[in-house]
Amino acid sequence: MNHANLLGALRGPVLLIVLGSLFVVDQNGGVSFMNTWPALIIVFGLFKLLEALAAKGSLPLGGSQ
Amino acid sequence: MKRASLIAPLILMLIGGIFLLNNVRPDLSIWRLVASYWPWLLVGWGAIRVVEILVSWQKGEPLPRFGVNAGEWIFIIFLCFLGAGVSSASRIGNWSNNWPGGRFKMLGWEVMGESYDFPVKAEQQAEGVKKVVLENLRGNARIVGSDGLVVKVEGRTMIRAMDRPSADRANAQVPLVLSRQGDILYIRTSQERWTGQERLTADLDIVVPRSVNVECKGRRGDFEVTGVTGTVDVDSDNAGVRLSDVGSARIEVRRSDTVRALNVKGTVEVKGRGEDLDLENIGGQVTVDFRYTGDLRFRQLAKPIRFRSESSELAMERINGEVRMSRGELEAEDFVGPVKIIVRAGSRDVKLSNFSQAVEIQLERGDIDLRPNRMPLAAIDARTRSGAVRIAMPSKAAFQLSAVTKRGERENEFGEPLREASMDRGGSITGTTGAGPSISVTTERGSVTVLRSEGAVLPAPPAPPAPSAGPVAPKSPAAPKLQEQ
Repeated sequence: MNHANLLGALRGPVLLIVLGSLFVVDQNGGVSFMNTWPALIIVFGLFKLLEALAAKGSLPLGGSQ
Repeated sequence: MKRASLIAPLILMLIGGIFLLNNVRPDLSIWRLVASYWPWLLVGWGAIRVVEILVSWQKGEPLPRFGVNAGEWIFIIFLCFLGAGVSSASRIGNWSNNWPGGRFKMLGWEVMGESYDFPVKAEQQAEGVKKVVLENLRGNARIVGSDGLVVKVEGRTMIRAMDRPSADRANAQVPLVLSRQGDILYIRTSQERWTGQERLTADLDIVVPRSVNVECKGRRGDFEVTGVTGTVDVDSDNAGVRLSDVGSARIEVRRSDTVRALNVKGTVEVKGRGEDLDLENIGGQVTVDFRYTGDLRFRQLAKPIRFRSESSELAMERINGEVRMSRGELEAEDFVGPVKIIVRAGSRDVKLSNFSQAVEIQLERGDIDLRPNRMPLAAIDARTRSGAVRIAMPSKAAFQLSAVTKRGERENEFGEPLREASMDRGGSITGTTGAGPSISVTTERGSVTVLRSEGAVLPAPPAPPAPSAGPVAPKSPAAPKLQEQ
């Protein structure tokens, strides 16, 4: 299954987007990055979980490949 | 086939673009923009990479093991530290601690919060009040003079907050206060008392006795003052200012989209920086020290004007018509000298028509186009280092002309008695038509043209409504077209 590979490749960029968004919120007077950084760990964990499921083939992702 | 990522070239182009923009438009404070918007770089970077990966997955190409590799992560972390440092530095530098985010657009808050409105209203007798001072950090205010002897304030406070209770809490802290000290009446929105994260804005409609002086202070928000015979004083970090029918005006803005004054009896003084400035029908002296990025327009100034910005200076004694100035052009019509125009940097094309009295122009780069059209002529001394020079001399006028180019072509359409001469790589057109003033135009590089203007030679002022000369001046209203019945 190459869903696991796809998720692995997407992990970095998505984390980057989350990181940027947290800084945008921080910048604009919202919640401080000091308070929001754990979101990065959660997203990282989520990706790891999905990759593990995808590797076992039990993740019903769309697409037949 | 492995495709190279778009990220690196894009980032390089962005960095180059930022430095270039900073050099070309120093007035934009590009670093402030960088300081407030840098996180979007991370978001954009991530988004582009996601798209790249999805595209190569769709095509069945081998995927990279890591979407963002170790070296890139190190660069990103470095960027985060740098960005956080720069933005907190610029925040402390420009703002007191009361206003988190201050000048930066509070995009996140606007997305997340909700706006709550609270009406405000206050009124106070103002007999004997000579001056009304408005202190409103954020929000727009409109001040109108009336015949009554009372100051009335009506409007609303808008509070952007996460929920109603926090908006209520903030509102309780910022009452609208009218207080009098001697002959000064203060109108305060007290926004500086609130130190929380909610953003407060107050929009006010204020009625004051006609004869008072008005002073407005704020950080962000527009001011509009109408029908006040006293002095109007505006001091703001970021404001659009519109004044009409006021006694005199003093305006200082650090940033502004537009400053406009119409029908001012006395002097006008403008300082600071902004986009557009528009002054019309001013009775007193005008002093402007303004770094502008948009357009300037001066119309009907009865007394002298002194203008300066970072790279240019302009002095005129009276403007009956209009002077328009953008970053690349200066166009003036129907005015009285002595005129002095100096542009030290950058390129500016100068086009003057229908003027009297002496004119002095010094340009670094740019074309000069002069059409005096008024008798008697006065001395002209115009020089540019690089640019074409054209001057249209009235055919019946007496003058001594010297038009010189050090490198470029010359064209004498005036004809006799002017003579052409070549010299080195340039040439000159010189001659005398009688005992008149000395007219000297010089370019170091560019063509020089002397035209003959047959159009109506207008009498010298004072003769205010001066239609521009007919056939020669191309910028005068287009020649009337033949209308078919």
